[in-house]
Amino acid sequence: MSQVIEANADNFEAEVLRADMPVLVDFYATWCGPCQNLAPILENLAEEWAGKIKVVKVNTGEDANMDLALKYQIRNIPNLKIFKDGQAIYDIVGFRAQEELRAEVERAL
Amino acid sequence: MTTAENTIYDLIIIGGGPAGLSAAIYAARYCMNFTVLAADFTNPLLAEHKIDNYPAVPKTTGGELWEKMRGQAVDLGANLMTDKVAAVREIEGGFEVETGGATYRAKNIILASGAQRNKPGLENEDKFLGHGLSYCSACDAPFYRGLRVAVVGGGNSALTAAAHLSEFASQVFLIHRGAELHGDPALREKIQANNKIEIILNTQVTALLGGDNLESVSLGVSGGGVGQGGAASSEARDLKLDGIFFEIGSTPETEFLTELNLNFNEQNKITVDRAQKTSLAGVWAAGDLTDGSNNLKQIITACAEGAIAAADVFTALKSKK
Repeated sequence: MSQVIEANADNFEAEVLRADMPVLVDFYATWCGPCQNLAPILENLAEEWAGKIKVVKVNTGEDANMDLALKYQIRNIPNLKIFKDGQAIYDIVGFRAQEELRAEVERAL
Repeated sequence: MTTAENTIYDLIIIGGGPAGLSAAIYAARYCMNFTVLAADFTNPLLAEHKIDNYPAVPKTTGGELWEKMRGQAVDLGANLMTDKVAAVREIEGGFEVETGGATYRAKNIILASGAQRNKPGLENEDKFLGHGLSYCSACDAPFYRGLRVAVVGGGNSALTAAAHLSEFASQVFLIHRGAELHGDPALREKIQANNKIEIILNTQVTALLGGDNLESVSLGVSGGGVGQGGAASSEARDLKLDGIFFEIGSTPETEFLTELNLNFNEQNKITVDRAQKTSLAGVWAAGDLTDGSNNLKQIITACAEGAIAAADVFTALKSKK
């Protein structure tokens, strides 16, 4: 089963802001090629990080999630944000290969 | 550093775009022992929002076309590995391909690593990436609903980006350093007739300005005199913007090839013959990084070059048996 949790405007607070561990949130859309490329990489990393770092994705193509995208000032996707204790503490914009992404996230924490 | 298996492949294809995947489709049909290595299987194709000139697949997108090619290669038995190639060198009887964590060996190589988009080289470029600066209008246009944006460039990619952005933004400025736009005439007409798009010729972006987000850019007159048609900017000025998209061409991805004795042309493209052979025996090249196909760099020509290269590798393998 996928370790990546699909979040939306309704459960963002519970899944991300009140999570008991750091959360990597992937703001993506179905029309974005690089986002599609990132999906399997996030699946792999979510499995690897299970219990340590949570991986959540938000589909910005859903109208209901546009407010979240606006709130976090998403202008480019893929856009990955690391949340810790309810705060966005680090930004990654654009595609990263698996090794690069793992290293960057682990360094940021 | 590990040597990945003891396998010596017939062929390693480096690159996962149209050229690499086409080579893989043909290599699979020829039952070669081969693998495909690509940094991330992301490539300029994926950023293409609209593709109308690929035969039999009208009105498609880069992502859709790429997904079909990838699926077809995998269905035919191609093994696609995500691994960024750091170096390729000659060894006894073939080549060694080194990635961050492994070394692969093959008798033959097809280089299909494509080209990377050019960046403007402006201060604050990294700072504003994700905060107003983008290289992918297909990805990011919807986030600029009702906002003011600019596209920099004068070729097909820039024109396509401007047209796509005009569906969302309140106003689109198309900024080009030359005196006239390039690109397909049909696309140019569409842009010129679009009243949301203002064309600014003979102009360069000289600075990106703002706080956390991009707020404006400085424009300067580029060399080349006053243009014909469209508004030519006559003096340096600032332009208020919420977003800017750079579509200013690409450069062949060849940094990892320094250890191979290949011939390049003056545009840093690998020179190939009619069979896509490079100047080094055992190495073929296909797609955006070659000087092939009369320099027509399109998806269809990348696919053709990949097919020709794989077919010629097959011929070479057969002749050695």
